[in-house]
Amino acid sequence: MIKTVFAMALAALLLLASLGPALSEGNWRKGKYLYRKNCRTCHSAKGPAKDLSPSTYKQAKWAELFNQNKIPCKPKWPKITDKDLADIYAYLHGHAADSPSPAKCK
Amino acid sequence: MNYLNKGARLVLAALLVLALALPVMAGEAPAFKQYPNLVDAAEVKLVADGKVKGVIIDARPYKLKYLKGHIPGSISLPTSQFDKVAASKLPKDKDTLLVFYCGGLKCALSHKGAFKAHAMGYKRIQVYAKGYPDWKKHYGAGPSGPERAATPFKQFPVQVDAAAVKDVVTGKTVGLVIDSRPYMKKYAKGHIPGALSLPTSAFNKMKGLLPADKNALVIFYCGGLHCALSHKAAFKARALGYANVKVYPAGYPDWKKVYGAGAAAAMAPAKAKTAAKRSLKAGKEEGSLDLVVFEEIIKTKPEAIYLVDVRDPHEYKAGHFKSSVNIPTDDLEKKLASLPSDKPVVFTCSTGARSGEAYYMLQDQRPELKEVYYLDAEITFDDKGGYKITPPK
Repeated sequence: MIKTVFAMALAALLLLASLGPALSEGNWRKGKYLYRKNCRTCHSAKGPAKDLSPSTYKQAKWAELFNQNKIPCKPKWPKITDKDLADIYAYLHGHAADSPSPAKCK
Repeated sequence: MNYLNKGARLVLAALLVLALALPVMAGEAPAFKQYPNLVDAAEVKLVADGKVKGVIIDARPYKLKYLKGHIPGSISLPTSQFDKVAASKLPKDKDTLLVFYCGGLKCALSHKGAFKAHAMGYKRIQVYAKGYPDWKKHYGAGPSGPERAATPFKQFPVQVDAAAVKDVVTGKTVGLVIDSRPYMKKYAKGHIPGALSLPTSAFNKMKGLLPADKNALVIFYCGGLHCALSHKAAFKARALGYANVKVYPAGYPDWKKVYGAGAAAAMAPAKAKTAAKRSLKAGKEEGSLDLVVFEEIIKTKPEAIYLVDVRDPHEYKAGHFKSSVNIPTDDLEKKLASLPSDKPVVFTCSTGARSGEAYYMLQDQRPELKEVYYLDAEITFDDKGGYKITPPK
């Protein structure tokens, strides 16, 4: 039991550390627009890629995707600055399924 | 033996040269049918400079000759390829002036090409018989390399120069400058300050960005004299009913030469100005409006702001600010041009999420609007027209 709690705490700590300042300081409102502009062009109900909303994933999944560079479509992106990416992350992570205010794009 | 042989060869060579040159020297009339309408270098120069509208056609072989140097702005249409490609290369308008040239007085290609064009129905054809050698003598060697405008395009008739565009940029003339080039490849790397990005490739999709007022001055530009995008866009805008459309044909290369490179896509400078010029008291979040100020305006002078409710129509129907118009965020992008520039634009929704997004959309797409705000608050309406604004926690 103690072991599990410890492992979870460690995981959370690692996660927080890996977020770094860049990703945790995004402007989520701006990110909401940038997500619409840069991502929803494909990731929407009628788009060529999977319909993605912040609430599609839990926070941990968004953190994993963004921090460990696991986003498969990244090579196809238009140029997105690190600052814009931080804003987009702030929106997705901040409104994930397990956040206080999950958000779903229409 | 050897010596004599060499001498004999020389004589033979000289005779041969003479024999070849004789027909030309004899009558000065080349051994081919001349096109009757000939022009000289000065007249061709007028076309090359754009002072006379027309298309200059290089009738020589493409690789061997055209690529090594040609009259500036001329298109390549080797006479050997004429029947195959003329229809796609020559302008559709049969009244367009065509000027053919090739390698000089002894070259028949330009005349042949001219006759063929005549047979196709072109009415204004000229041949610059002295051709490229003569051009070089007058104006020096022309550009080498592939043609820059493979297909001559239809020029929009109303054109302006850099100074006229500058007047719009500085606000001396009221109007909108539109960049017709691709966004990522061109606009993002530098554009005329305040210009709106409306790539011609996406014109039909994004035409909502054009001003609501059909009499507004709209100036299109792109990558210079060889770029057709601004002309195409201008024709499209005119077809939509815009009465005051112009093209700045020299485009961005010319602007850079006259006024230096413009802003890159990062809207940093525009933003800095935004902060300085805003007249209404700001809220805590970037771009937000102070709630007390907002309620004061709503109660006493609602006409002072352009209030946009970005919620969905069914939410709007259930209750809204009396002075507001309803433009859901999903439609906003198409209607950006309808937002006025003469009073502050204020976005509201139910929590400050969608309205905040709308604020950033304007920052990105209509950075020339300085007075844009959103309400960072929870807003609820009752069915009697009342409302409640709760500050964010």
